[in-house]
Amino acid sequence: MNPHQLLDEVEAALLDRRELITEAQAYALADLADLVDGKEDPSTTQWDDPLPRMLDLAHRVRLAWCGEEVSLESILSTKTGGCPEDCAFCSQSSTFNTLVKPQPYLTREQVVSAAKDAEASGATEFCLVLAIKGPDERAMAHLLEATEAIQSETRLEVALSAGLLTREQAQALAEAGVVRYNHNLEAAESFFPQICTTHSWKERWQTCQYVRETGMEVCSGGILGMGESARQRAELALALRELEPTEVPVNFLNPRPGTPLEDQTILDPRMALHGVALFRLIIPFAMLRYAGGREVVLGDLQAAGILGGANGMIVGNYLTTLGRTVSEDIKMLDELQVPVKALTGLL
Amino acid sequence: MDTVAGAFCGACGGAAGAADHAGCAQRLRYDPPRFCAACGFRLDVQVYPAGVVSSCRRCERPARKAR
Repeated sequence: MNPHQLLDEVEAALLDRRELITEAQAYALADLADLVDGKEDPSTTQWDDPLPRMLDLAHRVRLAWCGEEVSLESILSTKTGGCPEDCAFCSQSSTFNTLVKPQPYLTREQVVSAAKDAEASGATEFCLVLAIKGPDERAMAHLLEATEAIQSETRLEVALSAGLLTREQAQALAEAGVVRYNHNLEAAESFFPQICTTHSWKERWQTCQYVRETGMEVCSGGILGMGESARQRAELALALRELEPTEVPVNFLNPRPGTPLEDQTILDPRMALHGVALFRLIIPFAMLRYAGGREVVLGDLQAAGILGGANGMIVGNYLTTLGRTVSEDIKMLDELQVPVKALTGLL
Repeated sequence: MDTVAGAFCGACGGAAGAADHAGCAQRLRYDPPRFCAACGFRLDVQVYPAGVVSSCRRCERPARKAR
């Protein structure tokens, strides 16, 4: 399809009629990746690089659907390593020989102390992340105790990420006052078997459905650059759209030593930006949060994603790796003249 | 960050003077040290949003690194 005609159609849908784009349009946008990464011979193609216009459109869609503010959040691992699952990207899997040494649960005192630090810094939300398949009784007790402790000793809202849930567990967390639950689909259903064999994509989907049913906000996204095709990125985004997520974290693979993906070529930064814009155009209503790997994959082009569809960032360090300093990100946003929403994490 | 400030490389645990650690230094830009600089033993590492707390069970030496 003529890329200009496609982008005209997508713009009319998203900005004039305020409608979601069709599946066919989503896959056609994914196919523009061939022009973005130069797979099409420039001497024979009649089309210019569509990326600048795609990013510009994604930015205008973000402003129209979500407003101009960018949300900053930080994440805290309260149980690191030792996960029995074999997600090929993850350094916390016990099935791989990685450099991450398993650590015990943080104590109530450690969690509360960190939460108070967060509150003192102006944060409004506190997100606990556990490297587990899903909560057993001990993990549920930890989650409920930590949630109660944070609520009783701070004014912070609590968010969690603790793997697969049963309906009863989701209900219990919702009743305990957990505002948002993160569980990434991670990859398209058609690609997921190449990433994980110890649980299924449908199990992840089901957990997100349970979260929705309880009234907790759904936070679900994925990782780009694991070897999937651009069409599979569109497939993932379309699936996420069905979940009506409040937030969609977009991670970029940072190949971890000892994991099956340790030798995976780092995603080309222009393809990463294409992915950000693609997600925004397919899921215009959600907060699209830049997450892990952006420093490694995008380098100096991180600002382009903020002006190309993203309206959230995880700032500071990640679960097992380091990020840029918060001041670097604040400086970038200041230079872009992008207003920052109230801090929603541990800063 | 100097990856080989001690006797052992924080990224790979190898002896500081035994190999070229240029790649290790690059890795430590976005990875916390995983090995004790004094003895080369695997560290216990807890990453926080604004820092890293690590300790060596062999040296029993806690260390906190701001980030």
